[in-house]
Amino acid sequence: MRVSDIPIPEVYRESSDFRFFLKWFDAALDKVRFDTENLVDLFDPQRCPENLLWMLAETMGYKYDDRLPAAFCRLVLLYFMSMIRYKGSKSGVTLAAEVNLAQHNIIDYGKEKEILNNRLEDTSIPVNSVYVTAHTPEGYIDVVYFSDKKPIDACIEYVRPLGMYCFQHSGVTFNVRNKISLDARLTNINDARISEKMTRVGHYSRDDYARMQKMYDVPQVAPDYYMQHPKKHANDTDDVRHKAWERNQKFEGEPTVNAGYRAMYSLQLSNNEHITKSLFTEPIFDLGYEPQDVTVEPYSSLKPDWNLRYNLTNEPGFIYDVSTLDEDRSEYATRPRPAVNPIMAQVGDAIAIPEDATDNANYRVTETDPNSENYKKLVDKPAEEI
Amino acid sequence: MAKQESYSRGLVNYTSRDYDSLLQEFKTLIPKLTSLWYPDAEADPGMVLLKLLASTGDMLGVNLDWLANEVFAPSVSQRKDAEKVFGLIGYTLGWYTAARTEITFTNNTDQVLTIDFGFNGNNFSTVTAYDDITGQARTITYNILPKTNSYGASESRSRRSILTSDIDVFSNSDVVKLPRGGSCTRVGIEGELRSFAIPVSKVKEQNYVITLPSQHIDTTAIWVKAKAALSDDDYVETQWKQCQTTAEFIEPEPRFAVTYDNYSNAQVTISNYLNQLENYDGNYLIIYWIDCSGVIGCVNKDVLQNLVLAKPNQELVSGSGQIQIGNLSNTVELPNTYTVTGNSPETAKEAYINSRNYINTWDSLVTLHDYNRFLNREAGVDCGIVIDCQKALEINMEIYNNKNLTDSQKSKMYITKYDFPEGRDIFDWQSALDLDFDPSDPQRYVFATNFKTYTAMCFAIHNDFKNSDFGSGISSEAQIKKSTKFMRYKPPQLFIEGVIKDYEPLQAMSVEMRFGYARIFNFYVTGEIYTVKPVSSQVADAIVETAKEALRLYFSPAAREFGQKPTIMEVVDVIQNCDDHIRYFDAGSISNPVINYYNCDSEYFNPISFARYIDLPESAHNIRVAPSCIID
Repeated sequence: MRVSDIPIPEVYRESSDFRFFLKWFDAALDKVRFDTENLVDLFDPQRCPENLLWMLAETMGYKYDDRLPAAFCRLVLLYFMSMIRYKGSKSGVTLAAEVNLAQHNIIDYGKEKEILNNRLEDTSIPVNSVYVTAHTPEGYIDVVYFSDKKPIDACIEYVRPLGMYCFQHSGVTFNVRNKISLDARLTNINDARISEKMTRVGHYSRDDYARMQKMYDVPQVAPDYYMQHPKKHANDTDDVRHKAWERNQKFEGEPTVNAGYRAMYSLQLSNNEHITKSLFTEPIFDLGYEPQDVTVEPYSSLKPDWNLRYNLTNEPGFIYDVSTLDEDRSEYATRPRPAVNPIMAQVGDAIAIPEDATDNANYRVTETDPNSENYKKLVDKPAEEI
Repeated sequence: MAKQESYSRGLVNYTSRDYDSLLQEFKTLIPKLTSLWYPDAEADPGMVLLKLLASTGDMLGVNLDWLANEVFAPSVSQRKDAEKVFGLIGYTLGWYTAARTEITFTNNTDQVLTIDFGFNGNNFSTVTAYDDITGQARTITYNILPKTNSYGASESRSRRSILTSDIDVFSNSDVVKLPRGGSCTRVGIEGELRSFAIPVSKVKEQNYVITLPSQHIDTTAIWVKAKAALSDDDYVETQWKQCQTTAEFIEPEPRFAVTYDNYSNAQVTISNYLNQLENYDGNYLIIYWIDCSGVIGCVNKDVLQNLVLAKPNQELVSGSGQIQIGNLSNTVELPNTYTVTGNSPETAKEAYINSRNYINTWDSLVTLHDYNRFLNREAGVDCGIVIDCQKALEINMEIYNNKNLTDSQKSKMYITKYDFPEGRDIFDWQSALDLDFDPSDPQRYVFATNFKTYTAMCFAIHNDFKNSDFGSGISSEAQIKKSTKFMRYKPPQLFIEGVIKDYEPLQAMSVEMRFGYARIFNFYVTGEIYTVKPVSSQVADAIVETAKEALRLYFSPAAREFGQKPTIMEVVDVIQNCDDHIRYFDAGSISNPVINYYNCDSEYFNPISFARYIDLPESAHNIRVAPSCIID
């Protein structure tokens, strides 16, 4: 209700003095009206003013944790009574650990914009991303986070049963062999049907997932004999697929695939935004220039396009031993051609030319420039010359 | 759509809430709102209106801010608001509390004595003390509640319960046969039994609320009975039972609760089950309560005498010495007994502090916070702390990771096996703690990691380090390398057993409760007080005494926590605010520190330590009024 909306005799409405005072009342009482209407927000963890948040936390029995942003405290308060309801149980500890894990998201938001340190944008928590095991006879609880960084513990003490140790670990590590190692406890053992061992999510080879198993070759020399002995029409047992969770020695020896690429791939499989965010506390991909197209001359004068690309500086820990150069394509060390973001000079460049192409259309292909053996250039050629 | 006026988004600064700033804002607003008026005189009717408006804004703003404070536990200031805020978390504010104690009656004769402690329809049996706790002559009467006995094994001081809910204290017979030298115990409650009768029909008219003619009511000792006629001796069969709040009127049973009106007056609310009782309207409800005198009703040990039995015609002769009466002192509450110190109603601030010991526990002990709350709410505990193996480890890790401490300082602070018993050595600490070494490796020992699991290690201070009916605390000097580093203190063994007994009915887990030796660091204060104007030496002495008293209160164990070191700011603040004569307190310099640890090394101070304020003898003149401020 505004003061200016109050019905008044028309004679007053005509008075500019009166109208002036009406405006004045409105201006004066506007803030008070706002406060009254929104007073109940004091009890809403998402809307409570930052300077009063500690009092709301205290009212609920939570000690405000100023090591972490206010937005995180808001999230804790949203889930706090659920935690307390399950205090002492595995569900309670799991919930508290999941709330802990959400801090990576919130801290990342805060890096984007200062206000996000206070405002809570995302009220969800990364469910199924924490593995809690109670070792009661030994007297300890094991908490494994699906993250490469252990979060600051702000919640577990409120639910942890007294008298047990609580060991917390991050369950994801990057090792120097460019592998993401996941603690096996983070996988659902019932689904995987594997023992509790270290699982190495290596890269898959195409052989592993994208083709049929080979059969015995049909001996060309005696096709009739083969047809008469159908038992030979069988799978070639020597042609095996590698189990995904075993170390793939064959490929591990050749770290050709970019580690970040592989991580991205694994995360696409997991298809969980929270896991992706909590896993990479520093983003390994960011917006940068795409690799320069070395096939276009003079390439140095062209500013490459913006592109989502692998950020070398953010992952110095595990990129140290890794060459992102594709050796097959980089002829000179001074002109590296990264393996990421395969170069495509023109749309259609990578399309294979059908063998029976008969039309007279020219195809654009790359060719070594005869004038300078260091450069390649694009030339148009008819199909028959390719 | 009408064009939004520019002022609608607010021209008044958000921080302008008081009269002066609002007035100033309004004045600067005038040219923005109109070009027809330029007020230049204070007497201008427009200016008068403007001032009225600013004053309204001021009042509304202040009240709104106040309102915002009233909704949070730490800032709530009015009792009626506190009742609602803390009611949400299941905490009921305390009203007047009658002092209680356990009274033991021992047969002094050679024959078997039969005594009946029953209620006679108007009175309980009574015993009387003729001195109060300060030694002043005062008659303090204790009512003996029939059928109450000494503390049972299934009872807990730590659960907030209503004494009267389970016991029929109006039993007209409570006969005890005492053999020679035999004794029995009853609970005694200080005050006068009073009653108030009201017709049932009137209770209905008053919307089930009964206003009592007194406010000095112990809300845990209040009873409702019904009579068909006021002259009847017998009660109607209906058993009216007390609930903590009206929210517990769930069962269609006769229930009542003590509630408070908007002005914090206690009243009795009757369940509307009253309406369902047939042929009940002609009856009377009689409210009995103990009209108590609060804290001045407390008594010292064994001062109660003069047993007057309520039931007539008994073989016991009053004042004959046939019965020896003993009682526990209730100036200090003791665990596992019915000793209760008399109290006035809890203020909102007290309720906030006390409710912290109940929040989220729901009277069950599971987490570390629960145990800490339990220990601190326990009768007779001034302050205490509970740690378990994980907390001890976290404390040590925290000290280890503290970059502001040297290795030598760290080694003094760590919690050791002398503070917390060792556990089974089954863990690989290097990997468990994600460190690159094992901190408890004997070859490279840094700090203790291996504490006993399933152990709640309690450290507490009982009765301000003084003796109580449970004996004296156990203290000794902690000597390291032939010099005393601090004092070690543990409450009396009987007290510890009482606390553990109290804990058992609430036990949710099989955790062993143990009491350890707290590290106690004695300190005294040095400094000079400067007065507003010169004072005589007698006044100066009185000021110093007031300052010392204020420090004693401020740093008393009941007002402090474990792990809390005194700060210079606190000392200065306490002294400067204790007396109007004081202008400021000179807190010395680095070479003359204001806080001096007495015969101990404060580098050993850690979270299981307590800084204990001590007074030096008067001749020490550690706190004095500056000579320049004294005239003689």
